[in-house]
Amino acid sequence: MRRTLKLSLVLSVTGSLLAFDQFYIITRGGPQNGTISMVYWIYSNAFSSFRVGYAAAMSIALLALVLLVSLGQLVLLRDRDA
Amino acid sequence: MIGRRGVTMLYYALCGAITVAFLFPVAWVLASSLRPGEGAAPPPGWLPSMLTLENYATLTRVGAGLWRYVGNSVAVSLGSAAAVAVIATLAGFGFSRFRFRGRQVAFIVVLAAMMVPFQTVLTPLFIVLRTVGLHNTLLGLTLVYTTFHLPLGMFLMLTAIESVPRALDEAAVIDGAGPATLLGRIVLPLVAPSIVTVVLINFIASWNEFLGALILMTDQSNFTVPVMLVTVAFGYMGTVDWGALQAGTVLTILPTLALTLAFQRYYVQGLVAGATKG
Repeated sequence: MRRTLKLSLVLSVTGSLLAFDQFYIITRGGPQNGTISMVYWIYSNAFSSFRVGYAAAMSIALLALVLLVSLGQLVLLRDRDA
Repeated sequence: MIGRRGVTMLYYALCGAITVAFLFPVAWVLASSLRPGEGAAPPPGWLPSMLTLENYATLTRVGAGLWRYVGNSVAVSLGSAAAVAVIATLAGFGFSRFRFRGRQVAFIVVLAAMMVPFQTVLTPLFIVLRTVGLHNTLLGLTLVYTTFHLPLGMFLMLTAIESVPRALDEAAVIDGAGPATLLGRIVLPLVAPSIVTVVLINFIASWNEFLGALILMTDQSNFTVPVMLVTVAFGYMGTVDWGALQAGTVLTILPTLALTLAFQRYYVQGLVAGATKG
């Protein structure tokens, strides 16, 4: 089951890292940005404060982070006997 | 010591408990949507003492009217689902049956779109769409959904078409079939369940999509249903009509539920198609 577990783990962890809807709808990131997510922070920078360049830079950083976390999981769950 | 029967009973009890846990919020939303007036506001009550459809009536008076938003959502979801199905089938056929220069590279480029999360390209996407004048249009949103749902659809279609035996192709070619006949009369009927799956997955994904619609649609008359519901939730002048919100939630669940139930058989069939291929 290692491969199935690997796939669902990677998918659900990246999905959670990129969460936005729930934060936006339920708490709007409040109180005092206490429940803000990374995508929410990017969104509010780009479309509320109009710091588009900063937001785009953060998007790249987020992409790198997601890539790193996924790679970490893939390495930890690699097939030992292969 | 519990016997085989005890184990079976425990198993069903566990399944029942999980089912109740998953269905409870849905049941609660349904109950509150039928509750009159302030009854739907938190703190939540339990069963409504009086049933009413007034919340659903309120919903038709929100903004440009409920049907406008449902129409937007249906147009965008159906449009992108149909586009993905057509393009994915053609692409899957091409990648499966033709060997051409740059095939590997082209395939990886398409799959790369799946590996880059949608959330990280939001800002550039908005700028690009604004530059070409497609932001705040339903066509623009449809194209965005098509682009981001295409890789998965193509992947599914490719595995499905790969599982159609080459012997069938060869037999048809001997009988004088060209590529078009091959696709239309041999491959297409055999991968129909997968096409249904692709349409269904994409329709539901586009129907539920929120972030992209929120950013790209700035005119209230262009909102899709989820975005419209959020504007209802945040209320006008600080008041929230919880009843209308719950009614809207019920209405958004209905189409996806109906579609999934109607095509469930194909859905499962299509997802596992090609899965057994070594």
